[in-house]
Amino acid sequence: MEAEPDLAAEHASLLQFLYICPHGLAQFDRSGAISMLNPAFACLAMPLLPPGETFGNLIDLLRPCLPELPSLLEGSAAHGTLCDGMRVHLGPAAPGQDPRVLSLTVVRMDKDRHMAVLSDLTRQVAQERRLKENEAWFAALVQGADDYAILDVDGGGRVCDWNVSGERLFGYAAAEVVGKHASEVVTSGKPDAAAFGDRLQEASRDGWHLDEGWRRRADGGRFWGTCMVLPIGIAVEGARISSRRYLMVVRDITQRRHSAEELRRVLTADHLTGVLNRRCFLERAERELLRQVRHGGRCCIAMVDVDHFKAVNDTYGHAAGDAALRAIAEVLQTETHEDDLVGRLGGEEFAVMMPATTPELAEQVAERLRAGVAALRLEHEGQPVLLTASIGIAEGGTADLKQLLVDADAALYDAKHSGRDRVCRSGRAPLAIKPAKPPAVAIAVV
Amino acid sequence: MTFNDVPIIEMLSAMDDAALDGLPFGVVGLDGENMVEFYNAHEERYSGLPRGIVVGRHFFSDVAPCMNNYMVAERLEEASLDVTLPYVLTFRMRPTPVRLRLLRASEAPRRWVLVARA
Repeated sequence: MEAEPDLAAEHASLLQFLYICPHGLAQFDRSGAISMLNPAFACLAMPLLPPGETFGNLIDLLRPCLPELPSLLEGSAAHGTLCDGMRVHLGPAAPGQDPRVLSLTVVRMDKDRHMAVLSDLTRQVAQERRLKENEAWFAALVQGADDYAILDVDGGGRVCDWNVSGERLFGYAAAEVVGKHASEVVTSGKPDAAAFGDRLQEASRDGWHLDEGWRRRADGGRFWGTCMVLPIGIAVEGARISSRRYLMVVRDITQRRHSAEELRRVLTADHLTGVLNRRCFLERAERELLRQVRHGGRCCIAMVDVDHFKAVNDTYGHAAGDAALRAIAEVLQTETHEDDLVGRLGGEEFAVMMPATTPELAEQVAERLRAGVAALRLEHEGQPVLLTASIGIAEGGTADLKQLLVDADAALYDAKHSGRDRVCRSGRAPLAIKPAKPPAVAIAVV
Repeated sequence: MTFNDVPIIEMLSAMDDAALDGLPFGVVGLDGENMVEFYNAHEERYSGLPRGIVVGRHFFSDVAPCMNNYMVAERLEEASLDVTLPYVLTFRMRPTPVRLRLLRASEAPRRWVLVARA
């Protein structure tokens, strides 16, 4: 005869099994009411939980980021998978972190019982994004090059192996470059060892790093080339990594530069004005802010908003409005530094991110922008179109891009509500995102 | 003895296992590495886990992973601690609003997690 199963012990084991399951599991009925959920589900869904509430209803819980859940459940299927691996974006990322993304699968067991499986996709999605950004550059890489060089650098970025390919492409003999920092040899412009170190770190983390730019030859000439960094060979002593080596492949794509640039422009530029589009601006601004904070630099952001833009469109038509935006974007690009980022955030709103810039300098730049816009002489059917812009600037001391944008936005509000066609600087006093009434002082002094 | 008593760490340290088992709230005692040293009867009943399979295991990775975050696990690294916070646990897969009281006296490595249903 079979021994009686020890149900109590089995029960405890089953509970433990569910407690430590790394994916979220929950059971809910047609109205969304949750009857069971495991700890992983509670953890993953915790950011969505309003304070003081508990996990009562899945539809309500997910409404801010998955409003289509009720219609998914209304499907007539008696049982089966209602959605599989649907991506749920939890909202804007905390500073220095990737945006949280979950994967949701819902299985209908019967008309009143559904199972939800929730998994954390954050890392995977961040990786995908990095891969997509470089796909266009890969295309340029694969399409062939006029010439190439292969070299080795050590963990500190110093060249440790240089061969005939390097001699041919750059014109340096091995004795001239071995031991030198790669940023002095492979890039043109000011050698930036810190930025190069960042690239090595990214290569270690992602498996490779790819960029494009001007490279300088020994004879003073230059070429446009891609540079791929690949980590190879790690020496480990005990638990410590004692040395790293990287392979660098530089390819001369001067001939192909035009088409690669075209591709990149299409992915990153705003179609009307040619400045960075919103997504690209925010991503690059975040990266630049993080870099500056790491190296102790200061960043400033200027929010530029065209005054009475709706009136311009209504009076002169949308074609004139578009022309105005293009002209303003051009002012922003000409009057700002090469290293500054210029992006279009919305209909008539632009942003300029100025890395390694003090607030005093940023204010000077912003005043140039304001004057440049005010000086535009646009015409529509013989009638002059007068344009002005209001500008709010703020300085970022931490890696929190969201806060920096909020501060600049508040300063922009001050500028708008104290007469327009002016520049306002954000004060240290905390301002609400959209104050109910304008503050008493137009410009707050830091 | 109640959940909100003071001086609670002294009182808990002075009680024997049987007395701790008689308390009307969950009491978990962890060592300096967060391994479970003590798991009282109330906590056994609510989690459904007999102490035999819990004692000696890492609390935050093997027993209660939902508390492995900055709100609970990281707080317990503070040398001297007595903080109460609202939380939601998933006892036997039911969402259960609770109050957690996290305790640490600086002289001893032992830390306590008290769990009272809200």
